Amino acid sequence: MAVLSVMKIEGDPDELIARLQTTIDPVAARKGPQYGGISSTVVRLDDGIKIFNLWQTEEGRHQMAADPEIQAALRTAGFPEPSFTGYEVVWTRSAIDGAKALAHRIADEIWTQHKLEVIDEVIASDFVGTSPTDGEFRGPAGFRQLVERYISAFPNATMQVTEIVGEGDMIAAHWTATGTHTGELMGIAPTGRDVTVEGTQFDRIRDGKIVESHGLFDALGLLQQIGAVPAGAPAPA
Amino acid sequence: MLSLPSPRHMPCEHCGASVERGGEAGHQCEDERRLEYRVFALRDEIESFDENWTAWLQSPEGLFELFYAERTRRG
Repeated sequence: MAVLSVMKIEGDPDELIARLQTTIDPVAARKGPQYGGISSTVVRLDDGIKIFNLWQTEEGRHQMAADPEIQAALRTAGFPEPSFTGYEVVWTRSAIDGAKALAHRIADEIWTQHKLEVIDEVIASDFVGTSPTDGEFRGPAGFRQLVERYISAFPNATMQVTEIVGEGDMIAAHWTATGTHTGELMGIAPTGRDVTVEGTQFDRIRDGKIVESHGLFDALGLLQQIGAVPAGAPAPA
Repeated sequence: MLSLPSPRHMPCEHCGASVERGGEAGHQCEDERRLEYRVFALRDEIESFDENWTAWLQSPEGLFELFYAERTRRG
């Protein structure tokens, strides 16, 4: 269960912030993740500062407070006794969670369920994307053309997001796509072969839609699987 | 000499199923998938069968076979 600790330190806020930055913060930035620190936010008040720390567990917060390096930094800072309040976190939601959900929605609804009407909901009008096989494509219409091209070649296409991370306004995802080659692809006649292809994607999100997308996938592997390019010998174990 | 890498998955040459590298020994073709794969590979031949059959029946060889079959049938 995540916990939020709220600490108020009274005094001149500028002076407190300066001392915080030179004493505790460098140690806390290094030590926090070791004890399950999720985030730390400092705000300025008229009569001091408030520090909001989000922790994965209450136990981690206590371990951090008891860490000898943290204790030494606190003594160096010489802060007055802070007032402290702890809260049990019911849930947290961040913009990046919404961005990740967007990537899952594209994989599930567009690439797997082939609901192309969803494209207008998730792709911005000024969208720009790049792909190793299609170069640059623009707008929802360009994205739709790319999806249609692959779905016509692999009518049972599916895509699964296997890993996803996000920071700021960007997400990076690793995905695996499957399908049976029963339609023409890049001039290659259908082979009836099943293919499995992996790729990665960097997407930039603005106002709940994707505005930029740069994808790389194993295009060579795809061509090898449908017999357009010879497959090399497996790498030695 | 530069050699191409091998993809992580390759289709089974008998049934077309996607098989992960190293998992070939554990792969067993499903009869239905193998049949579908064979029929798909022969789709052009199957689609043109009626047309080719009709054309053959119009050829000298086909016309003779028709004549001979009819004579055999009459005894």
